[in-house]
Amino acid sequence: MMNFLFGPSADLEIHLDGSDDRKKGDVLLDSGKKEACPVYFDGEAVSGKVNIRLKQSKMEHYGIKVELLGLIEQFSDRSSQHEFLSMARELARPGILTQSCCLEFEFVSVEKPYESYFGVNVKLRYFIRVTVTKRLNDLVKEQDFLVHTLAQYPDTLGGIKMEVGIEDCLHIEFEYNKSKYHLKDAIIGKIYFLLVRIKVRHMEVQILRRELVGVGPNSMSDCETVAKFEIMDGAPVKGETIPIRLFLSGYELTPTMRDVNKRFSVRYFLNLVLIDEEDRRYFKQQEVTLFRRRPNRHRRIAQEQHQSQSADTAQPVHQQPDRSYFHHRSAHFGAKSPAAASGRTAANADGANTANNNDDNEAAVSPGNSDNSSSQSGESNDQ
Amino acid sequence: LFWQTRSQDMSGPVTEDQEKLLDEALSVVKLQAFQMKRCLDKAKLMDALKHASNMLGELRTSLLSPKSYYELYMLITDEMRHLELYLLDEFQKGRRVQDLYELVQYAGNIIPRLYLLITVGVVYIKCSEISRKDILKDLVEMCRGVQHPLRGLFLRNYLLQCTKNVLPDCVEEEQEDSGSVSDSIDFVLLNFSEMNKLWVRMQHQGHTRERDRREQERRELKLLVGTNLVRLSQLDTIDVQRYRSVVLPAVLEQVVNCRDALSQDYVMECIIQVFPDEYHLATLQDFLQACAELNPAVPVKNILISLINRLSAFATRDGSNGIPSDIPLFDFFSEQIAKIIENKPDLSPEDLVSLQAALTGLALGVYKDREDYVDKVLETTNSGLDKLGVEHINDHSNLSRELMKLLKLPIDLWNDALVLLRLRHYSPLLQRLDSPTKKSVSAYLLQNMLNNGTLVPSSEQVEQLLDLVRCLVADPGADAAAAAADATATNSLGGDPGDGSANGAGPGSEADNEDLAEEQSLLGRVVHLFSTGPDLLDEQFGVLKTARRILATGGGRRVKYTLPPVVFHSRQDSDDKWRKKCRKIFEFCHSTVCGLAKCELPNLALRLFVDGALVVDKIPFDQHDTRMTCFAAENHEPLRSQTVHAASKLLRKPDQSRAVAACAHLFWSGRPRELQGAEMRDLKKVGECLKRAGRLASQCMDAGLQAQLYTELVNYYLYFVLQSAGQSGSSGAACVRSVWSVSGVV
Repeated sequence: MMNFLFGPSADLEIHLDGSDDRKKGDVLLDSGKKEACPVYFDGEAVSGKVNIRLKQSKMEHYGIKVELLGLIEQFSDRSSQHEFLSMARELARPGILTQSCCLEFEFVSVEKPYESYFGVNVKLRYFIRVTVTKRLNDLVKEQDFLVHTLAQYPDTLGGIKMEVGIEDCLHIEFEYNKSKYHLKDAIIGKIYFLLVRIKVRHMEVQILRRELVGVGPNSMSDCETVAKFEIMDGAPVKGETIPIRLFLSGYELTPTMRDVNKRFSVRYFLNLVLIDEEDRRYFKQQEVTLFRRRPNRHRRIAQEQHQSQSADTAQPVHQQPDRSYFHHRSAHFGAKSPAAASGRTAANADGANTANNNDDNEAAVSPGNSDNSSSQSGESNDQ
Repeated sequence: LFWQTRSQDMSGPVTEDQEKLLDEALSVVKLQAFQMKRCLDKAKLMDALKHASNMLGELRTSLLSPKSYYELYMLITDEMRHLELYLLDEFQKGRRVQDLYELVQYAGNIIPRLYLLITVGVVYIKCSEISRKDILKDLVEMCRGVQHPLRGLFLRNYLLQCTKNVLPDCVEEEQEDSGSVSDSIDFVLLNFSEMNKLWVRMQHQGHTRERDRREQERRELKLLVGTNLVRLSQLDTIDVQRYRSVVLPAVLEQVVNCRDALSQDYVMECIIQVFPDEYHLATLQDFLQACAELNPAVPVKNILISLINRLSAFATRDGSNGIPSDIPLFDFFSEQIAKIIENKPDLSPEDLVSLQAALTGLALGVYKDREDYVDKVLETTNSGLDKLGVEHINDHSNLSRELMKLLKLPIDLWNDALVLLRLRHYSPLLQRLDSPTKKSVSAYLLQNMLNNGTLVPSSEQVEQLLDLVRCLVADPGADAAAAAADATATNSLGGDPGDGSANGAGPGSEADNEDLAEEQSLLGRVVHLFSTGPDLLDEQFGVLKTARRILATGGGRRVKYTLPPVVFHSRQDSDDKWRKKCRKIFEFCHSTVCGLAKCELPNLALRLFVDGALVVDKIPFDQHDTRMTCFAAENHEPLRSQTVHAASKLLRKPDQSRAVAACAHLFWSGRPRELQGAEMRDLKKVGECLKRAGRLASQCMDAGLQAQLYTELVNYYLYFVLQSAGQSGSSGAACVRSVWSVSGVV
């Protein structure tokens, strides 16, 4: 209203230093639009300029400040915004601006502990906010930027190997070459069919993203199928080995985030799904950790550091294949997308467990609660 | 092309559905292909790939029959060539698209993904051979993801097609990772075994009710599997050594282990056809070993026959070095075949025979001088048939046909019947056949002898030969009679009355008679081949005697054809100057002809006598008296009157007249035995003849002709008048009178 009456007395524009050269990534704005924003890493300085273009001959203000903010927003509860990072600089003391001007700012070595994230129920965003405090309505301008967290794991870490099956019906052994993948990595693996008595129509590997927001009874969880990748067409016979090679860079993935500021976590699962000729689905989920690998120049330094300390710690892990069981849905899914349906329900049921055993690989759960208990009893019988 | 053999066995409605489904798929493909090409023109590679992927997505269908799927596949792979060419072009210009190999693998569906991957992989290889080895290996491994038989087969076929000209074909790597021939072998062998597995698996899908249709469909797809072997055979650096140590063992292992009859049958045949003969020779043992391990339902005999035939052809081909002497080819095969026969109690007799026929072909082709090999094969065949309890071989049965083929082989290849006679087991096998077939083989043999002019120089051989073709020599029922005849052979010919009755009893149809005539004249012609050569006249005589003895058992119907040649043949000999024997020979001829005469064939006998007389006339032979004395009076008299009778039965009056007049000589100069060589000079009869001739001449309508006839008659009269001048005057006067009377008429 005020704006309508008086109009903004000045235009604010934030320009981040080097933003033309920097890698850009998409930020999902509240409006639903995507905007390309520069990417920063933990510890990097964030500097830039604020251009103030006056529309009137002068402008009185009660001070100009610039803030760097890290915010976690839960969509279910707009009010509960949580600032986990907040830094401020004063750019100008109260006074009168008589001409357009350009003010520089810099936040040196800002600790940016979390990755920017735009999820289903939560978002974590970083932005610069410039506020020109005025008597009636402050002038505010925000500029988002992205933060990528980097990580490094030794390549020698063991993969995932497991034998699963339904007694006298289907036994397979599957193997993923790693348990931790960087976002440009390829998942290499294979499926070995030990026993096939069902008529498999095809088999796919799905990447599931499970987002858990909040803790305790109020927690909300969502599971989304990020990728569906068919790895086998037709029915194999006993003894057949099917290769898996899934390039992750084709999908929109984020690093795994655990317990971000005690508010949410985002985890990824590889879901191996077999669909038989009667549309029954057999699936097995394995959690994998995704991380963002340091770009080359970072990596070289990190590797040197790592090598000096990890000569004896990083031993290859040869896991004995765990025995576990397929979770088997005989029900048909009707019009609903089967994957999404199974994913969401599974996540809900799983929610309570997750807090306790975060690192448990045994993540696949059968859909209903009643099913859950029965399948667990089945497991114990066999063990 | 390979769909063309397909019969219209797809039931109606299904075909209709198929057409509709196929049309839909094809139109999608055309649209996507069009868009893909448009994007390529605008250099929008990513969009083009998307359209290519959509197009390839049509190959995911499960609804199409193999035939329709093939059509779809052909159209799509055709369009894919545009993409390949574009990429090649770009790459060669140096505009290498980074990570394209990775990029195409983002496709969510496996079928489009793998087709794209193959296309791009091959482009990479064509542009630089550096990572050829790894790419090939990767491609063939990734194809494992398609386990659906039909789709998998076509996908792997695409792989095979695309890599056709880029497989490394050198012994050593030329560059690092460019691969060598052993990488190519691994590549194709893996692809082959996967394709074969898929192909076999097809059989076990769906309802058992549709088994036949599936088998039919599989047959149509067999070429896809065989292409792998063709590709291997095209690699020049696979030498015998490599073939024996790497290629063949792997192929055989796959084939034997799959235990599928259709696959085994086809692949074994394929191996034989696509690889060179030298390779087969070097690996015979392994190959035959594998044959023995095949599914019992596989017609191993076809495989073996085809191999044997190829090797035989190889051994006899121009320019080949023949079969190396260190390979006991024949022994290999005969052992192997013996093993097969032993292991397969349900082997049908015709299969057994055709196997043996192939073996015979081998023995004849490769070891031409080893009669014992052929005899051995014949022996095994014979005993094999015994074991199978084959007693009667029905005419027109497959077995009969096969056996006939087997028996004709040595005839054709040796072109020497005498060698056949040395085989102990040829005749027993021949006698197993039913009569018509037996006859046809015998006739074939005789014809062959005639064509090659095979002389039969000894009487034992004549005996053997005639024994071999005894079905032509005599009726089977006459065997006993023949035996009896043998005992008294020298004295009397076997022309006992029984034969005459056989002749009458078996009136036979016209066709039968024609056949008989044909066979017998063949036999007759062969008699001329019974020849010892010019210097061995005694033997020659013996030979002919033997021939006569045996041929005489044939009964009237046959003797008619077979004995005259004996006679003629013996006469030809008499042209030589061996006077001592002449008499014997003429006696021989005489008795032969008499035998004929007794068999109610007087006409023939007459002709032969007359002919004999001519021969005697021509040679300087001092014992002329033997000629014609052979006619005893009781024969002579009716003979003469019969001749006159016959002469007057001629069709045209002038002919009648002339013939009857000519007959007058019979009654003048004939020398019946009773007259001790004197001419009979029966003037009365002569007169009768001439009178009759005159009567006949008078009935002639044409005046000019009549005059001619009369003139001739006057001539006759004059001759006889002059001849008889020295005799009793009265008859002479009568003659003169008649002459005058005749001339008066004139």
